[in-house]
Amino acid sequence: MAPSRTSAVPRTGPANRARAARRPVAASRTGLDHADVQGLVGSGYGRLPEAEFLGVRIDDGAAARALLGGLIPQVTSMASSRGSRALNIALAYTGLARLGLPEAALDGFSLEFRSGMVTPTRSAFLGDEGENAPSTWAWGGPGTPRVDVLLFLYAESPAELVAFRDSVRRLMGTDGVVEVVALPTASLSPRDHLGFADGISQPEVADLRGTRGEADVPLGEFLLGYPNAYGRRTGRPLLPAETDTAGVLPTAPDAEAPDTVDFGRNGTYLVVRTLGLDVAAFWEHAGRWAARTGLSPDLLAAKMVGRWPSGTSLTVSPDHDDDAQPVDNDFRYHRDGDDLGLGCPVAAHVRRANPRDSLDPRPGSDAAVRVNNRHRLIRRGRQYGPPPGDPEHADDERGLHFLCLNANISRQFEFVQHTWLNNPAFAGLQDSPDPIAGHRPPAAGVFPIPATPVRHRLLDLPSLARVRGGGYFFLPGVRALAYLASGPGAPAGIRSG
Amino acid sequence: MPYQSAVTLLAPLPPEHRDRAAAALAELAGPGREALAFDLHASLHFARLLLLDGAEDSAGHGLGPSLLYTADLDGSADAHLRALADVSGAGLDRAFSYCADYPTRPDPANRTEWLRAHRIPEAAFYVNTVGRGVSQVVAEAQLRRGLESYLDEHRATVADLPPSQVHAALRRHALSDPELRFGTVPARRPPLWWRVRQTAHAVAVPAVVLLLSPVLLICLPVVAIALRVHELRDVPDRRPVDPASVERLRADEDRVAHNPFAVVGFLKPGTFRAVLTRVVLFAISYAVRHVLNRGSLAGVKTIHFARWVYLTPELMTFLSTYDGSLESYMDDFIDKVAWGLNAIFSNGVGYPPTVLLFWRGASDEELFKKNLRNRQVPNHVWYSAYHDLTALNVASNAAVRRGLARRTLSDDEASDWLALL
Repeated sequence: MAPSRTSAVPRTGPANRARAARRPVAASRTGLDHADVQGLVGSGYGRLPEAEFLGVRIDDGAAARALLGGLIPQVTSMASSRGSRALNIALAYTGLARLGLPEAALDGFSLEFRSGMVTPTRSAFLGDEGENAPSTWAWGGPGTPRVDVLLFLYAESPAELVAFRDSVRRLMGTDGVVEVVALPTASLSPRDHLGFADGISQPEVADLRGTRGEADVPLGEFLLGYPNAYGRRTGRPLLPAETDTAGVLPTAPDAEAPDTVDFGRNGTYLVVRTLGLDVAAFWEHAGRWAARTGLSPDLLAAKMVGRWPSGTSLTVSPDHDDDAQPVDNDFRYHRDGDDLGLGCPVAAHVRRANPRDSLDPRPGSDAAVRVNNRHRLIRRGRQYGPPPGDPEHADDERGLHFLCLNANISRQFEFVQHTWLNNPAFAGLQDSPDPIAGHRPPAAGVFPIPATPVRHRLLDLPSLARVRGGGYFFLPGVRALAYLASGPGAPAGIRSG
Repeated sequence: MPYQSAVTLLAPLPPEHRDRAAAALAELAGPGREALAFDLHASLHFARLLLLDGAEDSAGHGLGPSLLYTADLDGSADAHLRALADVSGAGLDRAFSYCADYPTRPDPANRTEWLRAHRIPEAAFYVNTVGRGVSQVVAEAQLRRGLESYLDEHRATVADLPPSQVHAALRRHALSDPELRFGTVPARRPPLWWRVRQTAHAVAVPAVVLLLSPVLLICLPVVAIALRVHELRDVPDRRPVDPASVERLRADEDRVAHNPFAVVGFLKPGTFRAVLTRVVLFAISYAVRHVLNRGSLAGVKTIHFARWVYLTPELMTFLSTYDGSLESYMDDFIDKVAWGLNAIFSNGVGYPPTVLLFWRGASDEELFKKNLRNRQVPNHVWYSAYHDLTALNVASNAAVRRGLARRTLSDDEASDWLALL
């Protein structure tokens, strides 16, 4: 009577998995200058649990340059992220133009960044339609003030954050720069609003901290100016050296024209999306289908996320949560016996946000991981809104300010959102978008849970994540910020030599 | 089940009528869809109508504005032309009436003649899975839906059975349902005469190549040197993409499960490149006809159909229907078959620099993608017979049917089969 195949995913122990060796090298081969990279690239500031993001509109370039000049001494770099406060600055394309960045450099940014997140074709592509449409957004959309600059403030305590924010606002003055949106965040907590540990899987980036492991993702996937996963430097804003009269910017030795400086070096694109989360609908759905399938709501929730609340992967521990710390994140789906999704379903959120070795070519091989690593993101988001358990604030809006860093918006963020999350045909599935973060018409998705002998299927998935705002920003290197603050070296409209 | 064919029609357009033709196509793509009535053709997988703007190279070779029609279909191409002339006559009239020699008083007979006269050959035609016709694709999708609904409703009753019994239960259900009964017998294969002809070709070509191999081996180093000389002289196209063109192209993309793709480009001038392209296309044509016709184009499984066509001896077009976004399509190719892309497309003007035909080239990711976007042309009218199915979906549905068509399965086989659902 019993099926001849075991239904459990074979348990994988340290002996069964070859861990990627991390070989520290004496000095970073690329000579990464940590003082030039903004701190957000290297760290989510876990020691600073309070944060707030301020959106600023530039009405006058000179006032904006003055503000930048005042803020730069406080900007946190990867070399200096040790204090009780941290500040990082990102700019939209409109912000860079208003600050007087020469056109030669402006043209060097990617098409996605230049046109922004809110064009009709991009909104259609990202699933920002219907209730996710930019016209409904609280910030970053056509109906709200333009955000040219985003300031990211982090602090150790709420009082510290208030003091920090007030000091920044004083620097803004009364003229020329206007704060148009404030995005407060919830205190850092080990669990997200759904009750799950988040942020476990971050890519290991070669040379970011002076070490290089075998399966690391190349630095150029996350920082401009370095070779990316194809061994080439992603196109970036270059300038003729004469526009940099103060000699602030690093040179670009690989550029076609001689005497070129690199405005983009050590910078990266920052994608921001405010996602409102309907926690009640999630648990209602899990509860309803628990009754129909006979599985517990907690199991169904874990299946949809792809991990247990502690963060342990369903592939590592298919039947029950495992509170072992640190969480074992060194697994691979096919290599560790979960190719069919009996542990972590193929349609689950974490599996489709980072399929590891699940996809072609040759799932389970190193080649599959290498190709997978061409679509990685460094995530630095923070939650907002009161915890769902709070009865007084049960109906308040809550969710995630999703932040991610990548050097190629189209091949990384947009690819993950469109081709992996929103795609109802991900990995050969049908009608199955991401149960949590996929954007689709309401109640039109299916969530298959592989099982033996026959799968479960949750129907009528509700739309849980609703886009409330967002934009494409550039997180420059510190020297690039200094260049911007000192004013354009030549009149606007200069073309590159 | 039938074999697959391609139809390509090219009709020159007087320049003064270009805009009117464009308006006619826009109307046919929208409110005027019924005039083309593509959905009435039971054997039509995909069809499209493009308005190609004129293009001329430095030597004056090229093409004036033209209309291009392509169709991926089952069965005989000529039968399709006759059906087009009859069922889609009204739409054809609206699209092609501006062409110089289109019949002034069209009827099915003279339309068919005109269509036949404007037919051009394909240099290579890729079919994802030979022998799988439209009706099979659509029916098997319906079969899957029926089986999935059954499992959704009756999971509790079958969940405790061994897999082979679950399979039997599903078979019983399919046999009892008139809409699903067809799935209990296997799909038919293409006709014998066609398979014999294919085998003859499959054997004959390598035989001839084997005969000529001493000559070919001697020529190889000479060709390699000549190729290297050409490659060092080639100038890649580093123009940035035009945001407005990209926006226009993207407006038509990603509406359904797959996208139509079309690029047009000049071949690099000279006899060497012309001959090399012919040789590569011949090799591709052989490979897709006999080897790469079972779901994978050298590792890429997301393409339904593809073709290479000479518009003029110097101007080529490549058209395909692929799943997912253009970004994922290009990434797929760069990651899996860069050598294949290089072999054929490096003969086109502006392609990223290659080394000995196969190396580098497409692995210069950004330059390759820019080149493609700069040569991409819009598909003014496009039809798909099953627009919510990807190639993997179609293959999976076929596998479901194959499993259902077996009278009994062992527990292991049934377990594998049930994992498809």
